[in-house]
Amino acid sequence: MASYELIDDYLAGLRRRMAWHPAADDVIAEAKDHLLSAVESVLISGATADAAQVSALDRFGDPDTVAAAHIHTRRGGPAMPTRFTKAAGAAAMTAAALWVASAAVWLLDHIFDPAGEAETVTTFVALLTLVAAATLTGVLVVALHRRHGGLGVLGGIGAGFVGLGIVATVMFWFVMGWGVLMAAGMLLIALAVRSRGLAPTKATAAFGAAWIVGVATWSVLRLLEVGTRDEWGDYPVVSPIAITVGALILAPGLIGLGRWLGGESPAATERREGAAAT
Amino acid sequence: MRGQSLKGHLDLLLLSVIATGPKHGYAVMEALRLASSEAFDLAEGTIYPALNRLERDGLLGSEWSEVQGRRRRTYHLTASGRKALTEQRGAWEAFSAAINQVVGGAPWPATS
Repeated sequence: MASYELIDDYLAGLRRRMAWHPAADDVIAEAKDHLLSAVESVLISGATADAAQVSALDRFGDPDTVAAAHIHTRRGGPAMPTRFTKAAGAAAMTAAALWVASAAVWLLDHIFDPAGEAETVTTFVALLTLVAAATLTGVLVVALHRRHGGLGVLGGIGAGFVGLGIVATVMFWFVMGWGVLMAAGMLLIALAVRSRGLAPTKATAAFGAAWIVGVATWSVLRLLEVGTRDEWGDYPVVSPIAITVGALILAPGLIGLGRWLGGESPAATERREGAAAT
Repeated sequence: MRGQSLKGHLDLLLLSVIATGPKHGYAVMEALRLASSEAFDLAEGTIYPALNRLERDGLLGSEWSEVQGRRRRTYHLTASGRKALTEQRGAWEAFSAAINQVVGGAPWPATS
């Protein structure tokens, strides 16, 4: 059989994008048969091998479009941007600002009340922004789930952890346990999102790593007993620093994911839906 | 005609093409291209999710074979698919007849 380098490269790229698909081998086999059939057809007309490959690939569609067409919702339609996912893009960017604001206010709160003895206005504002940031992050998680037509078992478990994390920020904000729940949930969601190959890679990585690093920072500082010890045996400076570290990693991730979701027009995707014809 | 214009109609087109005999994906696309005088402009790779979905819905069946050293999947119409095709054809004929009645006889754009 003749070797067609452009086709092979294309199929390798498509396979990378389809790695999450349970029938990826069949999808690639069909694509290969289609492309080679198209090449053979064009070669008969006297075209060169390169020209025949370019023609076949041009007609087949770019790998992103083809891979995206294979993503379906549970109801059978293609996973696509909607007005909700577009709005969630704005929510994600707002969440980014709120996480950073929350971290800044936690730090201010610590400066004004280093021993953590009083519930100050800054404590209240910090808590409010923290809960709002976590809630908007939850909206983003729902949007990521819908945009990908579901994120599978991994994403489902991750979403459960994030949901518990959001509840925990309200009820147990003073314990870093909410951070552990968010860290585990967001890491699992990021892995599920990454396996679909649609969302921007760096933003997804930052989203998944932020609270892992934040919690790790908290654990290390707690072990090193950084700062003064309060009457409950805690080290009040540790949490604000950990939240700041997590927020500074999370913010660019949220902005990247937000820009991606917010930048996709539902109308443009209806065209993709038409092309996918499902 | 762009992909968006085909929204909602591709199932009927695919079933119609495969009703003439079992075909693999490239042959389906070629039959569509020739029968429509190359009117449909869609990324060929995006018809496979539609074929896969029609198979999941029981309207198409498929078999794998090996041709010239590569795997090939050939689709055929099932009894349910034939019934769905008859229904969709009827609906399309009624729809297109109604549209033709409205726009068919009138000059467009209006000149007076």
